[in-house]
Amino acid sequence: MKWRAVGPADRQLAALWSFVAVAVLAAVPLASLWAPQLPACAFRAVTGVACPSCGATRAVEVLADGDLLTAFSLNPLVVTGLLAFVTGGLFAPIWNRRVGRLPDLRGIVSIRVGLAAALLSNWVYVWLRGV
Amino acid sequence: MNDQSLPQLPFEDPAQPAVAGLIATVKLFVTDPTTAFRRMSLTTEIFRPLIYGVLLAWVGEAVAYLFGLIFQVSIFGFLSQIGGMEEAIPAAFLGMGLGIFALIIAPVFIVIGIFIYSLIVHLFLMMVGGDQSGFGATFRVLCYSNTSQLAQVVPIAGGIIAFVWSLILGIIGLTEAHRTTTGKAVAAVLLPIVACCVCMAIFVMLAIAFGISADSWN
Repeated sequence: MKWRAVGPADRQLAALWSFVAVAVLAAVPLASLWAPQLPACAFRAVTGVACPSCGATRAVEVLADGDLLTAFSLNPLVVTGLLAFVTGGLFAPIWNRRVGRLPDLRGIVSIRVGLAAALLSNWVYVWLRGV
Repeated sequence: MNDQSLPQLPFEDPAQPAVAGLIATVKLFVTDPTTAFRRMSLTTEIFRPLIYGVLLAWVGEAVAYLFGLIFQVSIFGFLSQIGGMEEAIPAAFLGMGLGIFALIIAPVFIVIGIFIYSLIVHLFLMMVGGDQSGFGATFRVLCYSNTSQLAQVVPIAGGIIAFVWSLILGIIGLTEAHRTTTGKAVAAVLLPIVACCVCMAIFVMLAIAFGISADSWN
């Protein structure tokens, strides 16, 4: 994997990521307030099949109560993504300052395959489990 | 700059007055989005595209709110002629207040929305092998795609027009900024809607279509 030096725009993006991560972190405990406003899954209503993000709202609601395992069982990809996003956002500015380099992820086939596999396997899981 | 032979976008040019630069950039994205995205910088500070995106999205929301308000006032006026609406007046004012409060804090949610949407689109772009210029390029493209929010000035259908226009701008922008194929850009923009965020996309479309104050008189 190639590495490149952190530029000014990377620092700004990292700062923005931190801000958004903190905002998401602040929104999770309020899940019981905003979650009921979301509509039921239209994809499921039309096709009868769960969409890849089915169970995400309930997972966040459960996560707000601190039940990580149940949240993970409802939608593993969304919960993993959410945790990775918040953790990454909180550490991005520190990484930029301490390490000063960023991995160049462009054109890496294993990342493409990994993303597609994660999305598809999560969809199959959610579908079969009947979340 | 994406294309070194072209001048930079007026809004990204520090020598240009901010308002004149903003208007010139809006005109460019409306009339010739391909050239506009070619002129977009991939290296300068990200806050200019962000300010542009937030500003236009906010104007769009404000216009949608205004249309919603006009519509609700008309309905309320009609119903009050029938009578028995007196007890609904305090709730109506409360709803209006909440709508205005939502408009005031909207820029924060717009920033969060642009960032998370950019991240999702970029992951799909990586998945289809179209990422040539990094996350920053995707973020800039989706900030400038908010030019589409100007379509909110069209009553009733403005939200839907803005949504479709933003997808088109996103596809053009990703093609230019990442120097990738149109097919990969289409996949990156449409796959999150089709496969991943169906529910959220429909909810956002409905929210835009009916304005942010749809339930403010309830």
